[in-house]
Amino acid sequence: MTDAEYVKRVLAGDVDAFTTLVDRYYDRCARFAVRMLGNQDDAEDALQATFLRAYRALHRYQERDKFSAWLYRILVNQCRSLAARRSHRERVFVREEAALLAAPAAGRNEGQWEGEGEEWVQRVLAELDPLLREAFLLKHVEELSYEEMSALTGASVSALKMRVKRACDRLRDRWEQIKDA
Amino acid sequence: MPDDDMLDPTVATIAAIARRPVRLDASARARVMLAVDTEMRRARPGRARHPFGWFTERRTVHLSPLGGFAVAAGLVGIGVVVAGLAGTTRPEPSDTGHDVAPMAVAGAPVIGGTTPASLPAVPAGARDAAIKFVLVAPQASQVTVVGDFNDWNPAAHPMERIGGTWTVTVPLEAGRHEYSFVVDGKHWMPDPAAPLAPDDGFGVANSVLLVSRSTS
Repeated sequence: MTDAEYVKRVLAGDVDAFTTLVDRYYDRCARFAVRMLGNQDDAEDALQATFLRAYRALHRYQERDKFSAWLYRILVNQCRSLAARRSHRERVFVREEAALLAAPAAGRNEGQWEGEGEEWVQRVLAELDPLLREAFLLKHVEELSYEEMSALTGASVSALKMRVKRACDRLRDRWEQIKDA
Repeated sequence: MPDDDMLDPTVATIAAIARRPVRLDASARARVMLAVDTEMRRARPGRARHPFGWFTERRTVHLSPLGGFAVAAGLVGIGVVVAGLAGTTRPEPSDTGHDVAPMAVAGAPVIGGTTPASLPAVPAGARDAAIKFVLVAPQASQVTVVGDFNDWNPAAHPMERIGGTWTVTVPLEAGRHEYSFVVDGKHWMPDPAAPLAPDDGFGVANSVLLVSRSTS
């Protein structure tokens, strides 16, 4: 059954059908939220707000649009709002450079680098400007097209390409800097 | 045209790791589902608020003096861009409508004063205008221009050094273009003499270039 069919069922009164949509997209949304926000608490807040808002606004979903893109638009906005609020608090994930470079010596071993990859990727992502991080994640992690990203973020395709390019450059430079340290 | 999906190995590794499933606390999923379930029992979808409630509700906008200045500055910026377009765009010829001529020259010195670029002649009937980008950067060892016209690819248009001045001529279609310079492969900088694009916050500033169509 397609997403649109589940939406119709929900709007017809079968509210339990919405849990199927949540199940279907929970993992992808969780991945984006964690990569974008850098910690589980904020990601959970973003997920909860996203699915609640989606439910409340479901009657506004247009079948001609992909449900996933519509849901992502809500998620991206929720992540932006949370990130803006978080900027007034302690910046959770942007660490001191010294902390980045103080990785265990064993982690610099080529064979063990992959095992450290998850944490290090999260850290270099967190160092990116939010718009660059968002563009990189949508393009190369969620694997959306630039046209889908444009519809989702409201930014032009040209601006998004520039953001992705800059994000890639900065990630590569930072990653190599860490590896060389 | 460069392939957007071609990633260098380092970035590909980062992306591959980032695509792995995240390890969220198992109870987080349960809490999200509980919140959704509670909402579903409480209200049918879309009944919580009128669809256009956000637009019709009375709202108070708090604007600090600094914020007001920023808004005013933004409006002035928009005005300048619009005026630039209106003042320099000429009517298209009725027969072809494709001849174009450069309207602006990109380029300004970083060090050593303005260096106006001489514009190459545009052949009659040419589809693209030849725009010469100029940057004076005597300390640089490599400069390229990137923009929407080359998909922000630093390898597409390397600039040639003459003394301390770097130049490259790029054929551009009529219209609005955003661009930036990349110095020594990693430092992105807008053109100091050109207006900045207003739509990319977070310190990511690009320059704007307008190329008009020509009737001659």
